[in-house]
Amino acid sequence: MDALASVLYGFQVVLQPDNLMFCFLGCLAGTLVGVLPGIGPGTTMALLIPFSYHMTPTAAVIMFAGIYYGCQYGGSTTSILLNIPGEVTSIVTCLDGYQMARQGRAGPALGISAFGSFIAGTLAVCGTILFAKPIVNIAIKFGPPEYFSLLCMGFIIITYLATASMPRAIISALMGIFLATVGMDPMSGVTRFTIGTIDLTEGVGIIPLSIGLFGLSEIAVNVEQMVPAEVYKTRFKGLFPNLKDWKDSIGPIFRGTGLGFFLGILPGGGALISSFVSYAVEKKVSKHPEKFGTGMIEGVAGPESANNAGAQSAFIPLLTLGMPTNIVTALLMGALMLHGIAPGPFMMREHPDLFWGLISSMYVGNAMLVILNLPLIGLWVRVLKVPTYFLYPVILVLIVVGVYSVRNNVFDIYLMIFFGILGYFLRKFDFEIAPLTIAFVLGDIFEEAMRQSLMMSNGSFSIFFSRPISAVFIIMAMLLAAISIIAPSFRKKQLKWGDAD
Amino acid sequence: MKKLNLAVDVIVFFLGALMCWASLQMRYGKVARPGPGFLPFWCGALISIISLALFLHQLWKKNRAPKKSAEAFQGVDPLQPIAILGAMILYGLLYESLGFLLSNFLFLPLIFRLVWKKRWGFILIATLLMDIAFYLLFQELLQVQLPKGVLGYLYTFL
Repeated sequence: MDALASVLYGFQVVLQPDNLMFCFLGCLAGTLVGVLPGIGPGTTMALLIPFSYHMTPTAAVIMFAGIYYGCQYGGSTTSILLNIPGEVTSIVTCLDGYQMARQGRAGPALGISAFGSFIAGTLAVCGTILFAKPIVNIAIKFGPPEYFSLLCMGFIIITYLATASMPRAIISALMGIFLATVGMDPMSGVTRFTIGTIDLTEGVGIIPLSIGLFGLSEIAVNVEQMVPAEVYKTRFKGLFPNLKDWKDSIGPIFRGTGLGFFLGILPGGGALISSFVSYAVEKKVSKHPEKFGTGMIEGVAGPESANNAGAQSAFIPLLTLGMPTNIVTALLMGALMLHGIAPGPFMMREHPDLFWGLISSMYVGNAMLVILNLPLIGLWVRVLKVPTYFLYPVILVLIVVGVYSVRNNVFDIYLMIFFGILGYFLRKFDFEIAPLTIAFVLGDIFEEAMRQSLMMSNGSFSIFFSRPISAVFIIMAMLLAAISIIAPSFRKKQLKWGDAD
Repeated sequence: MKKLNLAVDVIVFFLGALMCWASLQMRYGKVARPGPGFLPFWCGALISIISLALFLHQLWKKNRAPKKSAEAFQGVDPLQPIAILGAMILYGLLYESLGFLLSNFLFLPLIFRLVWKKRWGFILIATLLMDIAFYLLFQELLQVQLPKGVLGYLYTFL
């Protein structure tokens, strides 16, 4: 199938009524959680994984993708209108977006944010189509050593980009790998760390782990800081940016798209870093950098385009290499594995409906989001007024029902509560939970690749250096690790580079 | 707060050591043929080594504890998360024996009262309405299998 035929096939899949409905539901849910501070796409996906069990894998993936990029749209609405970032990816939008709103230009800010995101989303879909096949062609040649080295590099980058402490992020990732070894060892048949219960023979489930770490612990952290947020009200009229706005924004939109697309592909990158880096770039290339923060439309157009492009290109490593680069794609991988589908280079051939359906759904979803967001802005603002004493109990009951309904086993609830308590303390002491979850999802593949590689080489670690692709990955991983040990200030500087100020 | 960080590193060190010990209870194998205990052992060992390094680093450098950790429990009300997590434990323990409807009737008032300090009148009405809504959504609309518990007969009646 050539690219055009594949995309048309994808549209055929996504335009089926049930897939279209789940795409719409995903976008709607994504916008909703994007608007609500404190609840992110990771939590929402973790909550919905049990319910996706009853859907087709294609419908489930289309819905989850919609939640992710829908969040980017929703987050910007409250950033611009209320100075409350619904999502971390739209923090930077507050700087100029809210100032524009205060000057009576909320309409153009929201408009350019939506149109910029749409343009970025469209171009990112084209980029995905362009890059997916060549990456798959390379990935097909991967053996266990290449996978091991690739995963090592991925783990190192994810921990390198940890916002808090890198050593603690590494500990988190190691905990994730350890947790993945619980249950029956596929190579020897030995059961490991099951503490005498048959409930752990199949291993720790992704659902109790992700819901506990994200859903429950996030609520526990949120309730201890229940300070009512001050809602700044603003008016908005005329959502279409004028000619000057377009002239000022078109460059940032394209630059943001390019940056977001390539940063999104990298492990640990995605929407968050893209938006900060785009803002920093716009400030650097602007003739009036001093005016940033006072309501410059470039400060909205660039980051909003970047976060959307980054959210979409993050799917490329998952779909082509079977490697999630952030928490959302890790949970998506977990959901696919529950359906018996292993993402990776063979997915394009074995599940073309899912692969191309997902890619085409991003385009359809972006169009839906523009239509959905602009007329419904008033409604999204009102959603913010739902009190937490209604929202959180509903989520908590939903969590328990979701976890229980998968296997009708109360042990999964205990496990989820355990991970909820663990997640609470991990968050409190700077042990990031994203590396833990990503490492947990990839743990089985990592162990298998490591053991097979060592058996192939009769115990020699040179196998990771003697094969060219593997050598590139492992040397990059070692270089990054060395930089963070020898020159930790360099890492901090790099992380700060994306900082808006 | 530095003491708290040091304590965390000590706990993590022993957790890593425990992982190593548990891994060595199964076959470690050799590098050319790693056994089931090989990877978990090295995970535990690396966790212990890194936490030991962090511990020594904090002892060595004065007041260089991670900023966020130092503020971990400052300016927050720790009773709220304890109430949420405690209520969840109780909810989980009674979920199957009491059943979905009754356990909700215990759990919802508990968190409304402990976390949000709501009045009993509000609690009663909100719990009743929410429980009915949950039942209609999960049992009737989505047909999710819910534990019936001691009220098993009521479900067949409903």
